[in-house]
Amino acid sequence: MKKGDVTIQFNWILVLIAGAVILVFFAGVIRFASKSSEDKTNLVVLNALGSISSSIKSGQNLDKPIESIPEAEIKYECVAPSCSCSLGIGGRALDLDPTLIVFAPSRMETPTLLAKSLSWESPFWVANFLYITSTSIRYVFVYDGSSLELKELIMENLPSRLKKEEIDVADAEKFKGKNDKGVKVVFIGVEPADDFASALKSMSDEDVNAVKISGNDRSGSVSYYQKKEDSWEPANEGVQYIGLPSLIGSIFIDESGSEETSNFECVERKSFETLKYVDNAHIARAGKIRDIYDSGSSCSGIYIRSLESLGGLYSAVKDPYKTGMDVMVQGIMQSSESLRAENEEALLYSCALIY
Amino acid sequence: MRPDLLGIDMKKSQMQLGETMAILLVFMVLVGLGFAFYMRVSKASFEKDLKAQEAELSIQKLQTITHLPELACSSEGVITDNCIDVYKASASAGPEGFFTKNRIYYQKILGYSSITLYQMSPSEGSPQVLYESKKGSNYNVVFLPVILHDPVENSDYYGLLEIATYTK
Repeated sequence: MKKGDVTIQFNWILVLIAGAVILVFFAGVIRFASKSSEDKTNLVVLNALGSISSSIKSGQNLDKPIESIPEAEIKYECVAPSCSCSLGIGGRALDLDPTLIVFAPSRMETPTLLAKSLSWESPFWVANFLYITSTSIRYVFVYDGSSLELKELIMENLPSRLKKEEIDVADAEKFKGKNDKGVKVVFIGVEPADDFASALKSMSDEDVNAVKISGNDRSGSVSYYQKKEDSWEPANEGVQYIGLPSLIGSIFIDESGSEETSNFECVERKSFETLKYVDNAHIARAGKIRDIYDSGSSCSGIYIRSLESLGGLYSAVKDPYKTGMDVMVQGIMQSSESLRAENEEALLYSCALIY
Repeated sequence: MRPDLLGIDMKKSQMQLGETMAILLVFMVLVGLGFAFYMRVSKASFEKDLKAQEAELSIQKLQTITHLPELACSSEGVITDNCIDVYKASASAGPEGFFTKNRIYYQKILGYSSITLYQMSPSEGSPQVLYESKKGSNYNVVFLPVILHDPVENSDYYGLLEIATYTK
């Protein structure tokens, strides 16, 4: 081999090395830019959620869009058995305010999200429920004559910019698909009709799900369904809810994500955990106030009874992740009724209010 | 082949090799300098953002605390802003308080911070430490004037809430 040939080969080796170094450099720059874009999306959503959290805490009932979010798919998932729920973008979880109870679909597409809050009282103020959804999801509310009132109450408490429509179950045949990215069918007091699944046959099964609400604005149960081609397949056995805020939450959450964990049940249990600690605080407060009043006085009597009711409420929710939902809901309802009556009595006798 | 001719060829290729190496070296040095400068600027900017974020965190903590159902004044379920129920505060304070007894739960909400309540009127009372979970020795302190409501006497006093948020 001639020396010239060796030289040329060495040159080519050096060119290859230099080229590889430059390629690696630019690959790094591209990766950095891509990560920055993801971080920017995270930041936009985090800032929006921070502002939402502040608004809720200042007492405002929130109903606002979160706009101009860079293109991303936002996921919401709860993990058993701890029922820790997280909002995530690109595989990274966002830190949510732990005092907020969040109801959201398992997948949401940007650029616009909707956020709405309602406060939950049982009977004292416990927490703020935050509902997050996307404008790309179409909500269809199906009702009949017997559920008209409940349907109206639900409609009054939905985010104002929600893509929604109402349809009487008798007109189920008239329902048509509209090339939506996602559809949620809410059956209020009616059985899930396969006409709706059939009309959405062309859509992917994972983009269409339904919830059936049985009950009223105080309590009831919700059952989730997943579209399977042209019919509905049950996703769970039914979960109890208590209060309108939970009922509204059941509309936004879905069970599409996980086979082992019921997202709605997890969020409900988390709200009962919050109730447990708030009730604990009320028990401690009531104990101190009871000691102030003269024993035998009306106010002392009222506070002794209220401590029993508060104790009953605590017993119902002391193990929120293990006790059956129906037992907890029953216990909460009974104790709440008693506390309402005792609070009215306290007002009547000019005693310090229980809550 | 003549050795002298061979020698000339070798020097030429060596020079070319040297040139290429030198170019690469200069390129690497320039990239390295640029990167070091960028990292320095980024670090300064990042530290500034971090300080702003820590201050914001303290304010957010303040909002969280004044709107906790466990402390906030309420009348038939209606919450009064920037108002703390004196009996709730008393029940939460100290080692027997519910914040301390349920530390694991409240750690998620209140994090590493210290919350102290001072009564300013009608007379200055001794400070009540409502919650304490320390970490390290660096912290930001914010104060908020609050109303202290006594639901038994149905009277209001002035108080000051101090929140020290521990930073890294």
